[in-house]
Amino acid sequence: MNFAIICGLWLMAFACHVRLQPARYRFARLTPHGRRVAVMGRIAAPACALMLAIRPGGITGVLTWFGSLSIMGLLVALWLALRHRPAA
Amino acid sequence: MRETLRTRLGWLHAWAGFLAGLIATCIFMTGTLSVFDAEMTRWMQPENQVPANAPLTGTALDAAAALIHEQQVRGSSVFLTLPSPRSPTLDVLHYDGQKFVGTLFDPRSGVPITVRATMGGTFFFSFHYTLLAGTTGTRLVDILGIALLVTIVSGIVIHLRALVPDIVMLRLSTARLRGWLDAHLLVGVLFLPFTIMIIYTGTVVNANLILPATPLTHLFAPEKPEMPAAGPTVTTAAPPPLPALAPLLATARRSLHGREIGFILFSPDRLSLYASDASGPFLTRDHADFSLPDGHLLGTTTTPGPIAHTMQAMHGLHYARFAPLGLRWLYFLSGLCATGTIASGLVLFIMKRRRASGHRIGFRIGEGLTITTITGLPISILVFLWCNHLLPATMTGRDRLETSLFFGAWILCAGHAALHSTSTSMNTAWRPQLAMTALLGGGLPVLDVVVCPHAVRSLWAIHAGMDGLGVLAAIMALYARRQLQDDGT
Repeated sequence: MNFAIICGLWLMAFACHVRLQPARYRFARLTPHGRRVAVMGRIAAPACALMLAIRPGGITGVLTWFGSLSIMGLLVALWLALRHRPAA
Repeated sequence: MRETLRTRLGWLHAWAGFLAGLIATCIFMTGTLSVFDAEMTRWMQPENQVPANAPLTGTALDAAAALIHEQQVRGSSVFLTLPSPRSPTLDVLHYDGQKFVGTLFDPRSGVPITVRATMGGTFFFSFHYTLLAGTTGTRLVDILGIALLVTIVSGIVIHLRALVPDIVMLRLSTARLRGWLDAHLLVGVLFLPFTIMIIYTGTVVNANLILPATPLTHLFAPEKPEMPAAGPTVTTAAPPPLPALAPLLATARRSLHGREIGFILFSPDRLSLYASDASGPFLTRDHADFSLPDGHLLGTTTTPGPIAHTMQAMHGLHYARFAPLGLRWLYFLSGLCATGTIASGLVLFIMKRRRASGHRIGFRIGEGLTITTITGLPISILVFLWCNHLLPATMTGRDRLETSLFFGAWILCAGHAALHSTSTSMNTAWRPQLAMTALLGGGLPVLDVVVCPHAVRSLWAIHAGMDGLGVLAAIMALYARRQLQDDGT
Protein backbone atom coordinates (compact mmCIF):
# COMPACT_ATOMS: atom_id res chain seq x y z
CA MET A 1 0.00 0.00 0.00
CA ASN A 2 2.79 2.35 1.03
CA PHE A 3 4.66 1.61 -2.21
CA ALA A 4 1.53 2.29 -4.28
CA ILE A 5 1.12 5.72 -2.64
CA ILE A 6 4.80 6.53 -3.20
CA CYS A 7 4.41 5.56 -6.88
CA GLY A 8 1.28 7.72 -7.11
CA LEU A 9 3.15 10.70 -5.69
CA TRP A 10 5.96 10.22 -8.21
CA LEU A 11 3.39 9.99 -10.97
CA MET A 12 1.99 13.32 -9.80
CA ALA A 13 5.49 14.85 -9.73
CA PHE A 14 6.25 13.69 -13.28
CA ALA A 15 2.86 14.89 -14.51
CA CYS A 16 3.62 18.36 -13.07
CA HIS A 17 7.11 18.26 -14.62
CA VAL A 18 5.72 17.39 -18.05
CA ARG A 19 3.12 20.19 -17.87
CA LEU A 20 5.89 22.65 -16.95
CA GLN A 21 7.71 21.80 -20.22
CA PRO A 22 4.86 22.26 -22.75
CA ALA A 23 7.10 22.72 -25.79
CA ARG A 24 9.23 19.66 -25.17
CA TYR A 25 6.37 17.30 -24.43
CA ARG A 26 3.82 18.89 -26.79
CA PHE A 27 1.20 20.00 -24.28
CA ALA A 28 -0.86 23.18 -24.10
CA ARG A 29 0.63 26.08 -22.10
CA LEU A 30 -0.51 26.41 -18.49
CA THR A 31 -2.08 29.54 -17.04
CA PRO A 32 0.08 31.41 -14.48
CA HIS A 33 -2.02 29.88 -11.68
CA GLY A 34 -1.72 26.37 -13.14
CA ARG A 35 2.01 26.89 -13.47
CA ARG A 36 2.31 27.80 -9.79
CA VAL A 37 0.34 24.68 -8.81
CA ALA A 38 2.53 22.49 -11.06
CA VAL A 39 5.74 23.92 -9.56
CA MET A 40 4.41 23.24 -6.06
CA GLY A 41 3.34 19.73 -7.04
CA ARG A 42 6.74 18.97 -8.53
CA ILE A 43 8.42 19.89 -5.24
CA ALA A 44 5.85 18.66 -2.73
CA ALA A 45 5.02 15.24 -4.22
CA PRO A 46 8.58 13.80 -4.09
CA ALA A 47 9.08 15.29 -0.61
CA CYS A 48 5.89 13.60 0.64
CA ALA A 49 6.96 10.36 -1.07
CA LEU A 50 10.34 10.52 0.67
CA MET A 51 8.77 11.07 4.08
CA LEU A 52 6.42 8.17 3.49
CA ALA A 53 9.22 5.92 2.23
CA ILE A 54 11.67 6.45 5.08
CA ARG A 55 9.07 6.01 7.82
CA PRO A 56 9.54 2.19 8.13
CA GLY A 57 13.34 2.30 7.72
CA GLY A 58 15.94 4.80 6.49
CA ILE A 59 18.07 2.81 4.04
CA THR A 60 15.24 0.66 2.72
CA GLY A 61 13.11 3.81 2.40
CA VAL A 62 15.68 5.73 0.37
CA LEU A 63 16.21 2.72 -1.93
CA THR A 64 12.45 2.38 -2.39
CA TRP A 65 12.11 6.11 -3.10
CA PHE A 66 14.76 6.05 -5.82
CA GLY A 67 13.45 2.76 -7.23
CA SER A 68 9.90 4.09 -7.51
CA LEU A 69 11.23 7.31 -9.13
CA SER A 70 12.93 5.24 -11.84
CA ILE A 71 10.02 2.94 -12.53
CA MET A 72 7.35 5.63 -12.57
CA GLY A 73 9.56 7.84 -14.76
CA LEU A 74 9.93 4.98 -17.20
CA LEU A 75 6.17 4.36 -17.29
CA VAL A 76 5.42 8.08 -17.84
CA ALA A 77 8.03 8.22 -20.64
CA LEU A 78 6.52 5.15 -22.34
CA TRP A 79 3.03 6.61 -22.07
CA LEU A 80 4.20 9.91 -23.56
CA ALA A 81 6.07 8.12 -26.37
CA LEU A 82 3.03 6.03 -27.31
CA ARG A 83 0.79 9.10 -27.09
CA HIS A 84 2.86 10.93 -29.69
CA ARG A 85 3.48 7.92 -31.91
CA PRO A 86 1.83 8.37 -35.32
CA ALA A 87 -0.72 5.74 -36.28
CA ALA A 88 0.76 3.05 -38.56
CA MET B 1 30.06 25.17 -21.16
CA ARG B 2 32.66 25.30 -23.85
CA GLU B 3 31.92 23.05 -26.79
CA THR B 4 35.46 21.64 -26.80
CA LEU B 5 34.94 20.14 -23.33
CA ARG B 6 31.70 18.49 -24.43
CA THR B 7 33.42 17.11 -27.55
CA ARG B 8 36.33 15.72 -25.58
CA LEU B 9 34.10 14.23 -22.95
CA GLY B 10 31.94 12.78 -25.73
CA TRP B 11 34.99 10.98 -27.10
CA LEU B 12 35.90 9.73 -23.61
CA HIS B 13 32.30 8.64 -22.93
CA ALA B 14 32.08 6.75 -26.23
CA TRP B 15 35.40 4.92 -26.13
CA ALA B 16 35.63 4.24 -22.38
CA GLY B 17 31.96 3.24 -22.45
CA PHE B 18 32.38 0.88 -25.40
CA LEU B 19 35.56 -0.83 -24.22
CA ALA B 20 34.40 -1.19 -20.60
CA GLY B 21 30.79 -1.77 -21.67
CA LEU B 22 31.49 -5.02 -23.49
CA ILE B 23 32.46 -6.74 -20.24
CA ALA B 24 30.30 -4.49 -18.05
CA THR B 25 27.17 -5.75 -19.83
CA CYS B 26 28.10 -9.31 -18.79
CA ILE B 27 28.88 -8.17 -15.23
CA PHE B 28 25.56 -6.30 -14.94
CA MET B 29 23.51 -9.09 -16.55
CA THR B 30 24.91 -11.77 -14.22
CA GLY B 31 24.76 -9.39 -11.25
CA THR B 32 21.08 -8.76 -11.96
CA LEU B 33 20.44 -12.51 -11.98
CA SER B 34 22.41 -12.84 -8.73
CA VAL B 35 19.71 -10.81 -6.95
CA PHE B 36 17.73 -14.07 -7.04
CA ASP B 37 20.69 -16.48 -6.76
CA ALA B 38 19.17 -18.55 -3.93
CA GLU B 39 15.86 -18.81 -5.80
CA MET B 40 17.68 -19.84 -8.99
CA THR B 41 19.50 -22.57 -7.08
CA ARG B 42 16.15 -23.84 -5.84
CA TRP B 43 14.78 -23.80 -9.40
CA MET B 44 17.87 -25.72 -10.55
CA GLN B 45 17.52 -28.31 -7.76
CA PRO B 46 13.88 -29.43 -8.12
CA GLU B 47 14.51 -32.35 -5.74
CA ASN B 48 14.63 -29.84 -2.87
CA GLN B 49 10.97 -29.09 -2.16
CA VAL B 50 11.26 -27.82 1.43
CA PRO B 51 8.79 -24.94 1.80
CA ALA B 52 9.95 -21.49 2.92
CA ASN B 53 9.75 -20.88 6.68
CA ALA B 54 9.84 -24.60 7.51
CA PRO B 55 10.50 -24.79 11.30
CA LEU B 56 13.99 -25.80 12.46
CA THR B 57 13.91 -28.70 14.92
CA GLY B 58 16.44 -30.02 17.41
CA THR B 59 16.41 -33.38 15.56
CA ALA B 60 17.66 -31.69 12.38
CA LEU B 61 20.35 -29.79 14.30
CA ASP B 62 21.50 -33.03 15.97
CA ALA B 63 21.66 -34.80 12.59
CA ALA B 64 23.72 -31.95 11.15
CA ALA B 65 25.99 -31.87 14.25
CA ALA B 66 26.62 -35.63 13.93
CA LEU B 67 27.67 -35.22 10.28
CA ILE B 68 29.88 -32.23 11.14
CA HIS B 69 31.65 -34.21 13.86
CA GLU B 70 32.13 -37.13 11.48
CA GLN B 71 33.66 -34.76 8.87
CA GLN B 72 35.89 -33.15 11.51
CA VAL B 73 37.21 -36.57 12.55
CA ARG B 74 38.10 -37.12 8.87
CA GLY B 75 39.93 -33.78 8.87
CA SER B 76 37.58 -31.72 6.66
CA SER B 77 36.79 -28.15 7.49
CA VAL B 78 33.03 -27.65 7.29
CA PHE B 79 30.48 -25.03 8.32
CA LEU B 80 26.75 -25.04 8.93
CA THR B 81 24.31 -22.70 7.18
CA LEU B 82 21.03 -22.25 9.00
CA PRO B 83 17.66 -22.13 7.23
CA SER B 84 16.30 -18.79 6.04
CA PRO B 85 13.12 -17.90 4.12
CA ARG B 86 15.13 -17.80 0.85
CA SER B 87 17.07 -21.01 1.49
CA PRO B 88 15.06 -23.13 3.91
CA THR B 89 17.40 -26.14 4.22
CA LEU B 90 20.04 -26.80 6.87
CA ASP B 91 23.30 -27.11 4.93
CA VAL B 92 26.60 -28.68 6.03
CA LEU B 93 29.03 -27.23 3.50
CA HIS B 94 32.70 -27.11 2.57
CA TYR B 95 34.59 -25.33 -0.19
CA ASP B 96 35.84 -27.58 -3.00
CA GLY B 97 38.03 -24.91 -4.61
CA GLN B 98 35.25 -23.59 -6.88
CA LYS B 99 32.03 -23.60 -4.90
CA PHE B 100 30.44 -24.59 -1.60
CA VAL B 101 29.19 -28.18 -1.65
CA GLY B 102 27.86 -30.54 0.98
CA THR B 103 24.76 -32.12 2.44
CA LEU B 104 21.35 -30.49 2.69
CA PHE B 105 19.05 -31.48 5.56
CA ASP B 106 15.29 -31.05 5.85
CA PRO B 107 15.02 -28.61 8.82
CA ARG B 108 11.84 -30.33 10.06
CA SER B 109 13.00 -33.96 10.16
CA GLY B 110 16.79 -33.87 9.76
CA VAL B 111 16.56 -36.21 6.75
CA PRO B 112 19.32 -35.57 4.16
CA ILE B 113 17.99 -34.37 0.79
CA THR B 114 19.68 -35.75 -2.32
CA VAL B 115 19.94 -32.98 -4.90
CA ARG B 116 21.56 -32.80 -8.32
CA ALA B 117 25.07 -31.35 -8.51
CA THR B 118 24.91 -27.85 -9.97
CA MET B 119 26.53 -24.50 -9.38
CA GLY B 120 23.01 -23.04 -9.41
CA GLY B 121 22.65 -19.31 -8.90
CA THR B 122 26.16 -19.22 -7.42
CA PHE B 123 27.48 -19.54 -10.97
CA PHE B 124 26.09 -16.11 -11.92
CA PHE B 125 27.25 -14.61 -8.63
CA SER B 126 30.81 -15.91 -9.16
CA PHE B 127 30.80 -14.80 -12.79
CA HIS B 128 29.55 -11.35 -11.74
CA TYR B 129 32.46 -10.50 -9.48
CA THR B 130 35.32 -12.75 -10.65
CA LEU B 131 34.51 -13.41 -14.33
CA LEU B 132 35.41 -16.96 -13.21
CA ALA B 133 39.06 -15.89 -13.16
CA GLY B 134 39.72 -15.68 -9.41
CA THR B 135 41.42 -12.67 -7.88
CA THR B 136 42.65 -11.43 -11.27
CA GLY B 137 39.05 -11.36 -12.47
CA THR B 138 37.93 -9.46 -9.37
CA ARG B 139 40.69 -6.89 -9.97
CA LEU B 140 39.56 -6.51 -13.58
CA VAL B 141 35.93 -6.07 -12.47
CA ASP B 142 37.04 -3.39 -10.00
CA ILE B 143 39.03 -1.51 -12.66
CA LEU B 144 36.04 -1.73 -15.00
CA GLY B 145 33.89 -0.30 -12.22
CA ILE B 146 36.14 2.75 -12.06
CA ALA B 147 36.05 3.06 -15.87
CA LEU B 148 32.25 2.94 -15.73
CA LEU B 149 32.14 5.68 -13.09
CA VAL B 150 34.33 7.83 -15.39
CA THR B 151 31.96 7.06 -18.27
CA ILE B 152 28.93 8.02 -16.18
CA VAL B 153 30.45 11.31 -14.99
CA SER B 154 31.42 12.25 -18.57
CA GLY B 155 27.92 11.29 -19.74
CA ILE B 156 26.33 13.50 -17.07
CA VAL B 157 28.50 16.48 -18.10
CA ILE B 158 27.63 16.00 -21.79
CA HIS B 159 23.92 15.74 -21.06
CA LEU B 160 23.85 18.25 -18.17
CA ARG B 161 21.72 20.93 -19.86
CA ALA B 162 18.88 18.52 -20.74
CA LEU B 163 19.31 16.19 -17.74
CA VAL B 164 16.23 17.34 -15.80
CA PRO B 165 13.98 18.79 -18.54
CA ASP B 166 14.32 15.65 -20.73
CA ILE B 167 14.04 13.19 -17.84
CA VAL B 168 10.98 11.45 -19.35
CA MET B 169 11.72 12.13 -23.03
CA LEU B 170 11.42 9.19 -25.43
CA ARG B 171 10.75 9.74 -29.14
CA LEU B 172 9.93 6.42 -30.78
CA SER B 173 8.62 8.13 -33.92
CA THR B 174 11.85 9.91 -34.89
CA ALA B 175 14.92 8.56 -36.69
CA ARG B 176 16.22 5.22 -35.41
CA LEU B 177 19.48 6.69 -34.10
CA ARG B 178 17.55 9.41 -32.22
CA GLY B 179 15.20 6.78 -30.78
CA TRP B 180 18.12 4.66 -29.52
CA LEU B 181 19.79 7.77 -28.05
CA ASP B 182 16.55 8.74 -26.28
CA ALA B 183 16.20 5.22 -24.88
CA HIS B 184 19.84 5.26 -23.70
CA LEU B 185 19.40 8.67 -22.04
CA LEU B 186 15.98 7.87 -20.57
CA VAL B 187 17.02 4.65 -18.86
CA GLY B 188 20.47 6.02 -18.03
CA VAL B 189 19.12 9.14 -16.30
CA LEU B 190 16.14 7.55 -14.55
CA PHE B 191 18.23 4.72 -13.11
CA LEU B 192 21.29 6.93 -12.48
CA PRO B 193 20.99 6.83 -8.64
CA PHE B 194 20.85 3.02 -8.65
CA THR B 195 23.60 2.67 -11.25
CA ILE B 196 26.01 4.97 -9.40
CA MET B 197 25.21 3.32 -6.06
CA ILE B 198 25.71 -0.22 -7.34
CA ILE B 199 28.95 0.54 -9.25
CA TYR B 200 30.41 2.61 -6.42
CA THR B 201 29.60 0.09 -3.69
CA GLY B 202 30.74 -2.78 -5.93
CA THR B 203 34.07 -1.07 -6.51
CA VAL B 204 34.52 -0.17 -2.85
CA VAL B 205 33.83 -3.67 -1.46
CA ASN B 206 36.81 -5.08 -3.36
CA ALA B 207 38.89 -1.89 -3.46
CA ASN B 208 41.63 -3.50 -1.34
CA LEU B 209 42.56 -5.66 -4.34
CA ILE B 210 43.56 -2.69 -6.49
CA LEU B 211 44.44 -0.23 -3.73
CA PRO B 212 45.83 -2.33 -0.87
CA ALA B 213 45.68 -0.55 2.48
CA THR B 214 49.41 -1.04 3.09
CA PRO B 215 51.20 1.82 4.86
CA LEU B 216 53.91 3.43 2.72
CA THR B 217 56.54 2.52 5.32
CA HIS B 218 55.76 -1.16 4.72
CA LEU B 219 55.93 -0.75 0.95
CA PHE B 220 59.44 0.71 1.03
CA ALA B 221 60.81 -1.35 3.93
CA PRO B 222 63.19 -4.18 2.95
CA GLU B 223 61.47 -7.52 3.00
CA LYS B 224 62.28 -9.74 5.94
CA PRO B 225 62.96 -13.41 5.31
CA GLU B 226 59.91 -15.48 6.09
CA MET B 227 60.11 -17.42 9.34
CA PRO B 228 58.66 -20.89 9.43
CA ALA B 229 55.37 -21.01 11.26
CA ALA B 230 55.95 -21.96 14.86
CA GLY B 231 52.37 -22.78 15.84
CA PRO B 232 50.87 -26.23 15.87
CA THR B 233 50.00 -27.34 12.38
CA VAL B 234 48.71 -30.86 12.73
CA THR B 235 46.64 -32.06 15.62
CA THR B 236 46.31 -35.76 15.93
CA ALA B 237 43.75 -35.71 18.76
CA ALA B 238 40.16 -36.39 17.73
CA PRO B 239 37.97 -33.25 17.87
CA PRO B 240 35.61 -33.15 20.86
CA PRO B 241 31.93 -33.95 20.24
CA LEU B 242 29.72 -30.92 19.61
CA PRO B 243 27.28 -29.73 22.28
CA ALA B 244 23.56 -29.45 21.52
CA LEU B 245 23.24 -26.54 19.07
CA ALA B 246 19.65 -25.42 19.81
CA PRO B 247 20.42 -23.80 23.22
CA LEU B 248 23.53 -22.15 21.76
CA LEU B 249 21.40 -20.60 19.01
CA ALA B 250 19.05 -19.08 21.58
CA THR B 251 21.97 -17.69 23.62
CA ALA B 252 23.67 -16.29 20.50
CA ARG B 253 20.48 -14.55 19.40
CA ARG B 254 20.23 -12.84 22.79
CA SER B 255 23.92 -11.87 22.70
CA LEU B 256 23.57 -10.40 19.21
CA HIS B 257 20.60 -8.20 20.18
CA GLY B 258 17.91 -10.47 18.75
CA ARG B 259 19.48 -10.89 15.32
CA GLU B 260 18.95 -14.23 13.59
CA ILE B 261 21.94 -16.54 13.18
CA GLY B 262 23.12 -17.13 9.60
CA PHE B 263 25.89 -19.70 9.86
CA ILE B 264 28.18 -21.50 12.30
CA LEU B 265 31.94 -21.98 11.90
CA PHE B 266 33.73 -24.77 13.75
CA SER B 267 37.32 -24.69 14.99
CA PRO B 268 39.09 -27.25 17.25
CA ASP B 269 38.46 -25.37 20.50
CA ARG B 270 35.38 -23.26 19.77
CA LEU B 271 32.39 -22.66 17.57
CA SER B 272 31.29 -19.24 16.31
CA LEU B 273 27.70 -18.31 15.54
CA TYR B 274 27.47 -15.44 13.03
CA ALA B 275 24.60 -12.97 12.64
CA SER B 276 22.59 -13.50 9.48
CA ASP B 277 23.32 -11.23 6.48
CA ALA B 278 19.57 -10.75 6.18
CA SER B 279 19.25 -9.24 9.65
CA GLY B 280 19.83 -5.65 8.53
CA PRO B 281 21.23 -3.30 5.90
CA PHE B 282 24.65 -3.30 7.61
CA LEU B 283 26.36 -6.51 6.52
CA THR B 284 28.46 -7.40 9.55
CA ARG B 285 30.46 -10.39 10.66
CA ASP B 286 29.36 -10.01 14.29
CA HIS B 287 29.46 -13.34 16.07
CA ALA B 288 29.14 -15.11 19.40
CA ASP B 289 31.84 -17.65 20.37
CA PHE B 290 31.26 -20.77 22.46
CA SER B 291 33.92 -23.04 23.93
CA LEU B 292 34.14 -26.73 23.11
CA PRO B 293 33.11 -29.23 24.30
CA ASP B 294 31.02 -27.62 27.10
CA GLY B 295 29.39 -24.88 25.01
CA HIS B 296 30.02 -21.95 27.35
CA LEU B 297 29.65 -18.47 25.93
CA LEU B 298 33.13 -16.98 25.49
CA GLY B 299 31.91 -13.60 24.31
CA THR B 300 30.64 -11.67 21.31
CA THR B 301 32.71 -9.94 18.64
CA THR B 302 31.39 -6.83 16.92
CA THR B 303 33.16 -4.28 14.73
CA PRO B 304 32.34 -0.79 16.02
CA GLY B 305 33.44 2.55 14.58
CA PRO B 306 32.34 4.81 11.73
CA ILE B 307 34.71 3.34 9.12
CA ALA B 308 33.58 -0.22 9.87
CA HIS B 309 29.93 0.91 9.75
CA THR B 310 30.49 2.65 6.42
CA MET B 311 32.02 -0.50 4.94
CA GLN B 312 29.21 -2.61 6.38
CA ALA B 313 26.68 -0.28 4.72
CA MET B 314 28.58 -0.52 1.39
CA HIS B 315 28.52 -4.32 1.56
CA GLY B 316 24.88 -4.35 2.66
CA LEU B 317 23.75 -2.02 -0.13
CA HIS B 318 25.59 -3.95 -2.80
CA TYR B 319 24.68 -7.50 -1.76
CA ALA B 320 21.08 -6.53 -0.77
CA ARG B 321 20.77 -9.63 1.41
CA PHE B 322 18.66 -7.66 3.87
CA ALA B 323 16.18 -6.63 1.18
CA PRO B 324 12.61 -7.92 1.42
CA LEU B 325 11.08 -9.42 -1.71
CA GLY B 326 9.64 -6.13 -3.04
CA LEU B 327 12.94 -4.29 -2.73
CA ARG B 328 14.71 -7.28 -4.27
CA TRP B 329 12.47 -6.92 -7.34
CA LEU B 330 13.34 -3.20 -7.47
CA TYR B 331 17.03 -4.17 -7.45
CA PHE B 332 16.34 -6.68 -10.23
CA LEU B 333 14.42 -4.21 -12.43
CA SER B 334 17.02 -1.51 -11.82
CA GLY B 335 19.80 -3.96 -12.71
CA LEU B 336 17.96 -4.95 -15.86
CA CYS B 337 17.58 -1.29 -16.89
CA ALA B 338 21.22 -0.51 -16.04
CA THR B 339 22.22 -3.45 -18.27
CA GLY B 340 19.94 -1.97 -20.94
CA THR B 341 21.67 1.41 -20.62
CA ILE B 342 25.10 -0.12 -21.24
CA ALA B 343 23.81 -2.38 -24.03
CA SER B 344 22.04 0.53 -25.79
CA GLY B 345 25.28 2.52 -25.47
CA LEU B 346 27.13 -0.28 -27.29
CA VAL B 347 24.50 -0.32 -30.05
CA LEU B 348 24.69 3.48 -30.40
CA PHE B 349 28.49 3.35 -30.65
CA ILE B 350 28.20 0.85 -33.51
CA MET B 351 25.33 2.69 -35.26
CA LYS B 352 27.15 6.02 -35.25
CA ARG B 353 30.25 4.55 -36.87
CA ARG B 354 28.65 2.19 -39.39
CA ARG B 355 28.53 4.66 -42.29
CA ALA B 356 32.10 5.94 -41.93
CA SER B 357 33.87 2.79 -40.73
CA GLY B 358 31.54 -0.10 -41.60
CA HIS B 359 34.03 -1.54 -44.08
CA ARG B 360 36.90 -1.67 -41.59
CA ILE B 361 37.93 -4.90 -39.91
CA GLY B 362 38.09 -3.16 -36.51
CA PHE B 363 34.45 -2.13 -36.83
CA ARG B 364 33.45 -5.67 -37.79
CA ILE B 365 35.26 -7.08 -34.75
CA GLY B 366 33.59 -4.47 -32.53
CA GLU B 367 30.15 -5.32 -33.87
CA GLY B 368 30.82 -9.05 -33.55
CA LEU B 369 31.81 -8.58 -29.91
CA THR B 370 28.72 -6.44 -29.30
CA ILE B 371 26.45 -9.17 -30.70
CA THR B 372 28.31 -11.82 -28.70
CA THR B 373 27.71 -9.78 -25.55
CA ILE B 374 24.14 -8.59 -26.05
CA THR B 375 22.54 -11.68 -27.58
CA GLY B 376 25.20 -14.35 -27.05
CA LEU B 377 25.23 -14.09 -23.26
CA PRO B 378 21.43 -14.47 -22.82
CA ILE B 379 21.56 -17.51 -25.13
CA SER B 380 24.35 -19.05 -23.02
CA ILE B 381 22.44 -18.35 -19.81
CA LEU B 382 19.34 -20.02 -21.22
CA VAL B 383 21.43 -22.97 -22.48
CA PHE B 384 22.82 -23.28 -18.93
CA LEU B 385 19.27 -23.44 -17.53
CA TRP B 386 18.09 -25.91 -20.21
CA CYS B 387 21.11 -28.17 -19.58
CA ASN B 388 20.36 -28.12 -15.86
CA HIS B 389 16.94 -29.63 -16.51
CA LEU B 390 17.95 -31.95 -19.35
CA LEU B 391 21.15 -33.55 -18.05
CA PRO B 392 20.49 -36.66 -15.89
CA ALA B 393 20.25 -35.70 -12.20
CA THR B 394 22.64 -38.44 -11.05
CA MET B 395 25.25 -37.88 -13.77
CA THR B 396 28.83 -37.59 -12.52
CA GLY B 397 30.43 -34.20 -13.15
CA ARG B 398 27.16 -32.67 -14.38
CA ASP B 399 27.94 -29.32 -12.70
CA ARG B 400 31.18 -29.02 -14.71
CA LEU B 401 29.35 -30.06 -17.86
CA GLU B 402 26.70 -27.36 -17.31
CA THR B 403 29.43 -24.73 -17.07
CA SER B 404 31.23 -26.12 -20.13
CA LEU B 405 28.02 -26.03 -22.16
CA PHE B 406 27.42 -22.43 -21.08
CA PHE B 407 30.81 -21.43 -22.47
CA GLY B 408 30.36 -23.71 -25.50
CA ALA B 409 27.14 -21.93 -26.44
CA TRP B 410 28.77 -18.54 -25.94
CA ILE B 411 31.73 -19.49 -28.16
CA LEU B 412 29.30 -20.69 -30.85
CA CYS B 413 27.49 -17.34 -30.70
CA ALA B 414 30.81 -15.52 -31.03
CA GLY B 415 31.73 -17.73 -34.00
CA HIS B 416 28.36 -17.09 -35.62
CA ALA B 417 28.74 -13.31 -35.21
CA ALA B 418 32.29 -13.46 -36.57
CA LEU B 419 31.22 -15.53 -39.60
CA HIS B 420 28.64 -12.93 -40.53
CA SER B 421 31.04 -10.05 -40.07
CA THR B 422 31.94 -10.11 -43.75
CA SER B 423 28.43 -9.43 -44.98
CA THR B 424 27.19 -5.88 -45.60
CA SER B 425 24.45 -5.96 -43.00
CA MET B 426 24.93 -7.32 -39.50
CA ASN B 427 21.21 -8.05 -39.19
CA THR B 428 22.07 -11.49 -40.52
CA ALA B 429 23.93 -12.09 -37.25
CA TRP B 430 21.53 -10.28 -34.88
CA ARG B 431 18.33 -11.91 -36.14
CA PRO B 432 19.15 -15.64 -35.79
CA GLN B 433 20.60 -15.04 -32.31
CA LEU B 434 17.51 -13.09 -31.26
CA ALA B 435 15.33 -15.90 -32.62
CA MET B 436 17.38 -18.43 -30.63
CA THR B 437 16.93 -16.32 -27.44
CA ALA B 438 13.17 -16.22 -28.06
CA LEU B 439 13.04 -19.98 -28.67
CA LEU B 440 15.04 -20.91 -25.57
CA GLY B 441 13.33 -18.32 -23.33
CA GLY B 442 9.81 -19.11 -24.54
CA GLY B 443 10.44 -22.85 -24.20
CA LEU B 444 11.69 -22.61 -20.62
CA PRO B 445 8.24 -22.84 -18.92
CA VAL B 446 7.30 -25.80 -21.13
CA LEU B 447 10.54 -27.58 -20.26
CA ASP B 448 10.05 -26.85 -16.56
CA VAL B 449 6.50 -28.21 -16.50
CA VAL B 450 7.44 -31.32 -18.50
CA VAL B 451 10.65 -32.20 -16.63
CA CYS B 452 9.74 -31.37 -13.02
CA PRO B 453 5.96 -31.05 -12.59
CA HIS B 454 6.09 -31.84 -8.84
CA ALA B 455 8.47 -28.96 -8.12
CA VAL B 456 6.35 -26.60 -10.24
CA ARG B 457 3.31 -27.49 -8.12
CA SER B 458 5.00 -27.35 -4.72
CA LEU B 459 7.17 -24.26 -5.31
CA TRP B 460 4.99 -22.49 -7.88
CA ALA B 461 6.12 -18.93 -7.00
CA ILE B 462 9.81 -19.64 -7.64
CA HIS B 463 9.08 -21.59 -10.83
CA ALA B 464 6.61 -18.97 -12.09
CA GLY B 465 9.20 -16.24 -11.49
CA MET B 466 12.02 -18.07 -13.26
CA ASP B 467 9.86 -19.26 -16.16
CA GLY B 468 8.38 -15.77 -16.41
CA LEU B 469 11.87 -14.33 -16.83
CA GLY B 470 12.43 -16.78 -19.70
CA VAL B 471 9.21 -15.56 -21.35
CA LEU B 472 10.23 -11.93 -20.75
CA ALA B 473 13.58 -12.59 -22.49
CA ALA B 474 11.68 -14.18 -25.38
CA ILE B 475 9.30 -11.21 -25.74
CA MET B 476 12.15 -8.70 -25.67
CA ALA B 477 14.11 -10.71 -28.25
CA LEU B 478 11.09 -10.99 -30.54
CA TYR B 479 10.39 -7.25 -30.25
CA ALA B 480 14.01 -6.41 -31.11
CA ARG B 481 13.95 -8.88 -34.02
CA ARG B 482 10.78 -7.27 -35.38
CA GLN B 483 12.34 -3.81 -35.14
CA LEU B 484 15.34 -5.04 -37.13
CA GLN B 485 12.98 -6.46 -39.74
CA ASP B 486 11.18 -3.11 -40.02
CA ASP B 487 14.53 -1.39 -40.29
CA GLY B 488 15.21 -3.34 -43.46
CA THR B 489 18.98 -2.87 -43.33
